[in-house]
Amino acid sequence: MNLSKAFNLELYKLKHKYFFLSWLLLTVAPLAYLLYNLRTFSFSPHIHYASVELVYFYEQSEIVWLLALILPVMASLLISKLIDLENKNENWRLLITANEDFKTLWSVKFLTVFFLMELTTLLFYLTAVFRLHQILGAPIPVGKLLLSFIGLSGANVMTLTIAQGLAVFYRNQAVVLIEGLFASFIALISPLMPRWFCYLLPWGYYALNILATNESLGRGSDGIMNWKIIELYPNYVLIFGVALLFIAANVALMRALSKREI
Amino acid sequence: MQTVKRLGFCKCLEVEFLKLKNSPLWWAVLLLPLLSIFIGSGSYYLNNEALSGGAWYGLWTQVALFYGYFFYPLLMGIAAACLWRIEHNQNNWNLLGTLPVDARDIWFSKLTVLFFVAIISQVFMVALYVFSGFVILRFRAPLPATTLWYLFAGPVCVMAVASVQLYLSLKIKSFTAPIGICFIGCFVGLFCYLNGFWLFPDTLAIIGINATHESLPTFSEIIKVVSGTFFWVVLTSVLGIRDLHRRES
Repeated sequence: MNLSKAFNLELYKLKHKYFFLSWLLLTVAPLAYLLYNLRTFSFSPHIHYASVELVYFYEQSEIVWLLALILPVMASLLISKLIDLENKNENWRLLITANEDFKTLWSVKFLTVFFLMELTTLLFYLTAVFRLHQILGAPIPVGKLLLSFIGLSGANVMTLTIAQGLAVFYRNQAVVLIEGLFASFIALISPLMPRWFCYLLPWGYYALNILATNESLGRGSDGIMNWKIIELYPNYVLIFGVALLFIAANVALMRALSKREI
Repeated sequence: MQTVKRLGFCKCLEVEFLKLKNSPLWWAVLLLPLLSIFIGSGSYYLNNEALSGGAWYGLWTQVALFYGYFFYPLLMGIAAACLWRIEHNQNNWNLLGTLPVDARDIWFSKLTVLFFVAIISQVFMVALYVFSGFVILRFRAPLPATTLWYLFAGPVCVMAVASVQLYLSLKIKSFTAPIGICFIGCFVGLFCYLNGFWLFPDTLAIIGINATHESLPTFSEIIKVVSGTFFWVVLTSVLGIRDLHRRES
């Protein structure tokens, strides 16, 4: 069976399973929240930006926080929904006896969820960037934002590989969902943690893509904290390197689990 | 004629606990508070100059913010889905219909187990918070009275989310869909909280965790939160028991 045929079958299977509705709701609710925040965007006298680019970068860091919260949960929910049909009643074995290739099925499921995660990331980026462009009227730093978007794709590969491995290995869907909960928690708090913490855990790689952070300037005469926004320079070589390692791990996992099912 | 002895509430409770015996849920119940405290304490240590209010309050904002807004309600969502998982499998609804067990006992035993999970998680969280304050961060200030509020109000207020999730997991056969709805509910709850609409279940949980207010909620706020939680628990219980009766018949 070729890949496009497998894609079609996968989509057909999901027709009545509210799969895309789940994705849509998981994307729309946080996106509405982001839009609400952007609607009330204004320059605070207590936050100092050295350049207009930093406004975009600081907003990008806010988006990464939101994405770090939703993407691991989305990966777990969607992949577990996709794999549950095969996990039920030994359907993997049934498919193998029907001459279906486990590796094709694995790849199609991975690509389907990965595509949806990328679409969510893209929607968040586009919404924030265009809204800010509307407010600021300044040119968009496309290059750096694009690189950070690709960097986030690397983090998505890592998150999804772990979720898919667990979803196939454990028949109990609660396992992958609880993993998603942990992953989301780790990803969410990673920007607050030292860099070594982010390097160690795959979900910490979301935080490594942040383009700006704030630095305290101390309290002003009015007693309110003042902050300076500083640019960060993500180590993309490392991010892409680890993402490649995870792609290799994904292939290895696919082979190992394919043998188990046979 | 021999009458069939009905299985009571206690037996149902026993069965529900048995279902969760080897569940991965307990890992989340123990590890999420542990992670929250570990990271919250570290964050407090690094940023205590920027935090306003007393030391204990500052620490609570760091440990409970994300936990209360997102992870505590989600934990309840997963627990509720786990509790209906066996019933939704294969022909187990038919099997349940043949058992001499009352729908109310089934519903309230599940709700009690959820309350138990909420208490365990919150007690563990508050115990670690106290330990972190006294032993790790060495606070000299006495423990504020608000700690008692954190301890009791958290599990009580999260029951609004828990009961709604229990009802959704009963109605929806899919294991993951109600958890997805719960996740979306967290955002809607936060949105309602920011706009002063307090009756939404997740908003009640946010108020209960009290991660953004320095002082205890006022008496009128407490009345609002408790009555709101009561409203959701009663509403979902009525709907849930009616649904169970229909399934039995």
